[in-house]
Parts: sequence; C-alpha cells; structure tokens
Amino acid sequence: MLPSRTNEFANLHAMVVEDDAGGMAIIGVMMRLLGIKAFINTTGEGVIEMAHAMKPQPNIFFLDINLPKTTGYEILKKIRADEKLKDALVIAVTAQDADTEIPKCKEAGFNGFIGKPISRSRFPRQLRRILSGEEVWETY
Amino acid sequence: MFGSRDSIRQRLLIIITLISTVMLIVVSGISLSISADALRREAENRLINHDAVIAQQLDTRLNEVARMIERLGEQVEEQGAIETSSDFFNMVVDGLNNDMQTLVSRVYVFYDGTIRLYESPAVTPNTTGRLRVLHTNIPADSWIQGMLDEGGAGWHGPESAFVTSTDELMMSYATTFSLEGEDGAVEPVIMWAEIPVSSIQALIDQIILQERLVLEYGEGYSVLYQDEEHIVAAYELAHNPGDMPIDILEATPSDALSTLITKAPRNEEKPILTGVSDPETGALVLLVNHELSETGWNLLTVFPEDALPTVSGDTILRIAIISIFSISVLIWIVNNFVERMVAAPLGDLSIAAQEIGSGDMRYQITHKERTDEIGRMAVALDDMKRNLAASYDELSRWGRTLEQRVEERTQELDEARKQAQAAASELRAVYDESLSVVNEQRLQPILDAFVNRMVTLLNASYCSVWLLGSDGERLQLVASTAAEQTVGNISVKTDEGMVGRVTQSGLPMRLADYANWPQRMNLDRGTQGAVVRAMCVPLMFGGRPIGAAVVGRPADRPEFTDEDERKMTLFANMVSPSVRNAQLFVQLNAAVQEAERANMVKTRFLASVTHELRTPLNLIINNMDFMRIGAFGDVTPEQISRLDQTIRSAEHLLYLINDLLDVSKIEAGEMSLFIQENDLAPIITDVLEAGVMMLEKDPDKSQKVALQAKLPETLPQVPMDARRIRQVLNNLVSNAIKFTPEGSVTLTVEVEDEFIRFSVADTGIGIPDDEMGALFEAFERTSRVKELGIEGTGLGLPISKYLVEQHGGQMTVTTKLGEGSTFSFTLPLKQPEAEQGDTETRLKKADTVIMQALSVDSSTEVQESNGSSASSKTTAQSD
Repeated sequence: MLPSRTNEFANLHAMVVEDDAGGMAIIGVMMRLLGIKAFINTTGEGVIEMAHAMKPQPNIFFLDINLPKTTGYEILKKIRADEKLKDALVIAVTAQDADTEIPKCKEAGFNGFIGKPISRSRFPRQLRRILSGEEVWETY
Repeated sequence: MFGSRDSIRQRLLIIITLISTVMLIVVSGISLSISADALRREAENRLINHDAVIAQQLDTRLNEVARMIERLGEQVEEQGAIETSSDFFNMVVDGLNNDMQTLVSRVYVFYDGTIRLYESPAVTPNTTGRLRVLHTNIPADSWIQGMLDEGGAGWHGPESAFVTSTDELMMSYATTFSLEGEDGAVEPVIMWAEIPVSSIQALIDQIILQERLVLEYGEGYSVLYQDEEHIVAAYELAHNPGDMPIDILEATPSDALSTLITKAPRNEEKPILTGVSDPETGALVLLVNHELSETGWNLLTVFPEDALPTVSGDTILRIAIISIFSISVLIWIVNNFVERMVAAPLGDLSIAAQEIGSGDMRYQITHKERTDEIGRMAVALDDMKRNLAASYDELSRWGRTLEQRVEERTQELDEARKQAQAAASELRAVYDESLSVVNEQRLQPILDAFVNRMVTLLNASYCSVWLLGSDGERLQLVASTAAEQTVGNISVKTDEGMVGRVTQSGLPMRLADYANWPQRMNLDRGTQGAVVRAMCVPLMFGGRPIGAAVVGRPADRPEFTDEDERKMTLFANMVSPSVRNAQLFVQLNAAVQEAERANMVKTRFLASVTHELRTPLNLIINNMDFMRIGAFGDVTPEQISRLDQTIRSAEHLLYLINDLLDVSKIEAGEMSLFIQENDLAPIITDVLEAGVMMLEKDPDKSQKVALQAKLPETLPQVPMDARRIRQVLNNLVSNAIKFTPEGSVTLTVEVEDEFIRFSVADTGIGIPDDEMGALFEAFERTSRVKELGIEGTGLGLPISKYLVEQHGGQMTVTTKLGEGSTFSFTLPLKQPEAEQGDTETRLKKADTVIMQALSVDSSTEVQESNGSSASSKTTAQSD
C-alpha cells in the first residue's frame, strides 16, 4: 500500500540536477511519492535558464556534485548570484565521500547535504527540517 | 754534695747556707750578750727606783706626822695651858683620826710631872679614842729626859713603847716647848707621837702595792736604818705584800748588816749600785742606799749579784727564731740575687744555645748589655749564632736551590699530567660531542657539528666530509667549513684525490704540502691557503668505508702529527655510526613518508571507489524499496520478503563500504569530525526508526524484541558531529537487536552536568569474558558470532569507540553472559574551546521526538518515558 500523499510539500517547486539516469529515476520517484513537482536537469548546464523558464520558479534545488561538464558548486554559485533564485534552498545530493564534501558544501553555502543512497524513510523528515530552516548534513 | 751534676745555683746555695749559719751563731751570741746587759741594767734601775720611791714616800709620811705634832705643840703654846678639856682632846683626836691614824698609834704630852696619853681608835677598838693620864717617872737614860734637859725636836727610836706592857717597837717624833705657869714659872712641855715599827712596815707594803714596786725576782732585802746600829724596818724584796716581813725583833742589826750599812754608798747626787762582798757569805752583793731627808734615816737595799735576772730560754728561742727567719730571708734574697744575676742568665744563655743549636737563628740572645762574665758569654754566644746563621743561610740557599729544582721538575710533571688530562678531557669532549651527535637524527647537523668540532679539535683551518653516494662510485661533499664549497654540488670518483684514495684504501693519509701534491684535485675553491698541511681519515661503518673526512692547516702551522691522526680517527670512528644511522634514518623517513603517502592515496582511492559503489547501491536499495512498498505495482508477500532480504544485503554492503572507508581514514589519520551544536531529537528519531525498520524486516524477531527509549523531557543541544553520532547510535542499536533473540533493547539518554550519556541496553546473549578484550578491535568477529549467523563487518564497534573518543567522550560496556549487555558512551556538553564558536546553548523541547518504543505490531509494548506528555508520532508505518 502506498503511503498516503499529503500536501505537506505542495509549495515546493524543485529542480534536480542529476546526470545519472538511475539516480534521476530514484529522485523522480521520491519526489512523486512526496507530491513534489520537480524538474530534472541532466547535465548541469543551463540550470539558471531552465529555472527562469519554470513557472513557478523553483524554490529548492537538489544538486549532484559530480557532473559531466560542471560541478554542483558552480551551479550553486550561479544560483546564489541570480537575483531571482538566490534565496532558494540548495541541497547537495551526491555519492561523494561525505567527509570530503560536507565541509566544502558548507563552505560553498549549500543548505544541506544528503548523501546517496537517499533513504526513502528519512527523506521526508530531512526535507521537513530543511524547510524549517535547519541545515541537514546526513548520509545513509 | 758537690757532685758534678749539681748546678751552680745549688753550690752557691750551700755556700750561702754555711755562711749564714756562722753568721747566725755570731749574731745570736751578740744578741744574747746585749740582751743580758740590758736585762741587768734594767734590773739595776729597777732596784734603784724601788729604793728611791719607798724612801721618798716614807719621808713624806713621816714628815706629815712631824708636822702634825708641831701644829699640836703650837696650839698648846697659843692656849698657854695644857687643858684636859675636851677641846684639846678633840684636837688630838682629830689629828689622830686623819689619814695618819694607821701610822700614829698614840700621842703623849708631858707636863708638870704628868703624862697625858691619847690613844687612837686603832689602839683602843670601839672607841673614838681614849685619853689617859699617867703619873710616871721618866727614866733618866731615856731620850725623854734628854729632851727635858736640852729641848729641841726630832725623831727617836725604835725602842720599846713608852708605857705599854707590850714589847712593841715604836718610833717617836717629839717636840719641846714651854708654858708659863700660874706662878709665872716656866714649865717645860714635851709632846710626841708614837709610830709602831709595824706600821712603818705596813706603810712600806702599802707603798710597794700602790707604786707597783714588787720585784718578781731576787732574794735581796731592804733595810730602813737610823745608823749602823739602829734599824727601823726591813723587808724582803721578793716578799708578797701582806706577808709578814722579816721580823725585826731587835732594832740592832747583825754585824754583817752593820758592815753592809757602813759600806752603803751615801751622799751621792744620784743613787748608785755598789757591789760589795757579803761579809757573811763572801758572795758579791749589790747595794743601793737612799736617805730620808726628814728623819735622816736611810733605806738600804741589799741584792745578791747572782740573783739578777739572766736571759731566759724563751728569749734565746725568740732570738733563734728571729735569727733563723732573718737568715732565711737573707738566703732567699741572696738566692734571688744569684738567680737573677747568675743562674737565670746562665739558664737563658743555655736555652739560647739550645735554640741556636736546633737551628733557630732568629733567637734573640739577652744579657749582652751586661759587662760581666755573663755579658761576655752572651756576646760570645751571639757571635756564634751569627756564624751559625751564616752557615745555615748558606745551607738553606743550597736547600732552596735543590727545592727549586725539585719544584721545577714537579711542575714539569704536573704540566705533563695536565696536558694528559687536557687530552683526556678533549677526548671526553669528543665523546660528549659524539653523544649529542648520536641523539641527533638529522644528517646535516651531525656533519656540520663534525666539521666544526674537528677544526677546533685539531687546530685546523679547514675540514670537510665526503660520503659515498648510493651508487658507491662517487664521493659527495656533504659538509665543509669553507663557505665557498657548495655542499651537494661537488663530487669526486673513488679513485680521485685524497678522499678518493682514503675511501678506497680505508687508511688515513697525511700530506705536508697538499698544494703541491701531484694528484691534487682542483676542488679546493675557497680554501686557498687554508689547506697546505692536509690529513684525511676514512669514515668507517661495519668495517667498510662510507666516506672520508679531510682537515687542513695553512703553511704557517705545523704538520699533522700521529696524535692528531689518532684523535681524528677516534672522532671519526665515534661519529661514523651516527652518520650512517642518520643516512639510514633519512632513508627510513623517506620510506615512511612514502608509505604514508601511499596510505593516503589508498584512502582517496577508497573514497573514490566507494563513490562508484554508492551510486549503484543508491539505485538498488531505493528501487527495491520502492518496489517493496508497491510504488511500481503490487507485490506479493513472497516478493516483499525477498525484497527485504535483498535490501538488507545491499545495506550490509553499503555499511561495509562505509566502514572500510572509515577504518582506512582512521588509519591514515584522515578522519576528521565536524563538531557543532546539534539537536539530538532528529538523531534519536532516525536511530529509533532505523531500529524499528530493522525489526520490521525480521517479523519473527519483531514479535519477541521490544525497542524502548528512555529520554529526558528535554533534549539538549550537543556539540557533536551529528552524522557520526547517529552512526554510533545506529551501530549500537543494530548490534543490540542482532544479539538479542528476545526481550528488549533500550536506548537511554541521561543528561549530567558536564556530559550526556547514551546507553543501549539489551537482554541479549551477552559477551563472554574472553571476548571482551578484542571487542573494540577491528575485524574481530569471534567464531561464536559467526556461528550465530549474525551479519556484521566487525568494524562498527572500533569505529564507534574511536568516534566517541574523538568527541572527548568515553565508551564502556558491561555485560553478563546470557543476560545481556549495555554499551554506554558519553559526550561532553561543553564544546572543546578551540571550536567553541556558538556559545548559545538551547534546549529544545523534545515534543517532536518519538519517546516511545516503536514497533511494527500494535502488540509491541509502548512505553512512555518520564511521564512525558509529548505526543507520539509514528513516522514509520507498516503497510
């Protein structure tokens, strides 16, 4: 039986940057399970433009760090530099070693770090905490 | 007694004693003689004085008696009659009653054929005197008849009393005068007083007593005489007053006494003693005579010459004592004199001679100022002393010369000893230096110390060290005192130059003129002039040369000696092992660094690999999870069971990967924590939920095991790396569930003052003692655990313990086999100071925290802790 869908995250408009097809599928299902509308960017290029084109504009980003032609940090920088997007929540979602990446992410200005694999059971709570203003730096 | 051993002083003393004894005898004789003369003279004077005093006193008293009778007569004449009246009587009695009464016994008045007699009370006791009238005839031959015939006045007697019947001898003083009778005829009157001779005798006694005239010596006597035929009184000189004197019954002296009276010296101006021969005995007697002017009587004292006092034994004794004392004093004085003048100076000179003889040339000789023999002797001794002193000086000069030579030699020896000591201490310093070098592990400081020390040690101007390279074919310059020689850039082959030869041969080498040595390499830049004298020794290790050291001196310094070579070789031998060790240390260090680098590379590789592993695991786990919950369509219970199994395996793989990476990081020192204040609530929630899910996936166990939590009402913020603490708690809870077949697993959180304590208690199988030691060691899974079929990496506990300790906490375990275990760990509530950025400590009400046991089945006991009113939420739900 599927968990009951709530409209808890109805106000979230997410953009996911994920180059791995499997990863895309996973996060897509996760968003769907949570009732979050999400756009997925698969290269990391044109994220800002894509976001601008979104209606409504995304207020939360899930960024992979390792991308074919760019990095999550670069994208974060652009988001933070963008007048319309700078206040959006930006979460790093990566399989990179947490010990190495978490400090970098904190330094760069991410709002959280959720290591892969994402935990389906914990993800809603993590999200909730992030939305309440808390920073979340967790792995599986 | 004049033995040769006697001192002069003794001899002098004997002579003085002899002389003194003779003098004593003479002086004593003289003293005795003078003393006897004085005694005799004194005795004579006493005799004369004795006589004179008695004579004078008698004279006075008798004169008074005469005057009294004269006055009575004058009174009778004035009255012109002899009255028998009481007036006359009273007058006479008054005369008798004065102090003459003892002398005068009766007063007579003859007138007109009758005699009136007045007796003194002494004669007639118990009366005041008596008057008798006698009628008597006056015998014609009596002196009274003579008075009647011729008149006049004068003394008479001694003779028998006039009218008394006694035969008492009397002295009388009579005076005559005339009275004219009634008829005008003139009648003669005689008046006289009678004095008993015994009274005179008594008077003399009285005088002797009063005048203290008793002579205590002698057998002589005194005689009061009228003439050679009439004696008035006599007494013995030695008699005691009061005794009866010589009883003179007759007034007529003996013939012998008469003869002496006639021979008595009379009429001399001064009374003198006259010695005459006693007519009776023929013995010599001394005579002294005094005339009584009143009566014309004389007092004669007769004294036997041999009765004069002589010098007594006491006197002789006194004289003897005085003499002996005087002589002793004399002897003492003379002795002192001799002592001072002769013996003491001789003694002084004797001591001086001894002192000089014993070598004391500064001894001051005394008595030189004297002009006598002692003085001459002293001067002679002084001359001798000077001569001796000169000789001694000469001797001591020689002695000093000798001493000086000995001292010089001693100094030389001492110098040599000091040099030896210096050398020894130098070697010691070399040794000490080498010790410090041994402690030094870096090569360059050792080599630099080596060259600097060598220059000092050998008084050199240059030193360098060359070491064989790893190829063993070239020698590399590694240290030099010459600044211009660049270390590391200069090398020679082992068959080139001095160092090459020495290294090849392993033998030291010395050159007196290196500058002109044919095989000289032109490498000594910057050492111009410093290396003319050269010496090179090999640096040996394990019997093989590892290089060589060179020292140099300029031309103006001496060539290197054998000793220099010895020193240098010694030093080189001591330092070589250190050099070699340092070389090895450098190599070892490089190897270690290489290993560490490799470890780091491994960790990074692992980190990279795990990324590649996590990505597919993300897909596997999540897709199966989605599948299991029916996200992709319905699933059968069979499928769910298989999916659970698979998910568990995938998770196990994920944990294994994570743990391996952690261990690798810990070992490489790459593990770092990000400690900051964090809420505990989400962690506890996650941990409990993970536990619940773990139970969920084992339906059999979820029936038997209850997961409980005991939490405080409020959970504090804790400084921690939240991700890591969640990992620790997850590890403990999952372990507890794994090892608990049935019962409960309880997570307890207790907040203390300074720290927070987490405990995970189970009612599981417990841990036997023999496994406790290896409990926290990586990869230690006991065969028992394996037999139980419990999955695990064996890495969780060691990593957890490490993580807790890195937080400053402690992990402990208590267990009882078969009853369960409790794993506890603490975390300090105060952030380590270095990371204390956020001082705000907030307590968050744990109302959002699940505080009850979570269980898949409603049958599982739900327990609230501490009566908390917090609402319960179940975030994990079963389908």
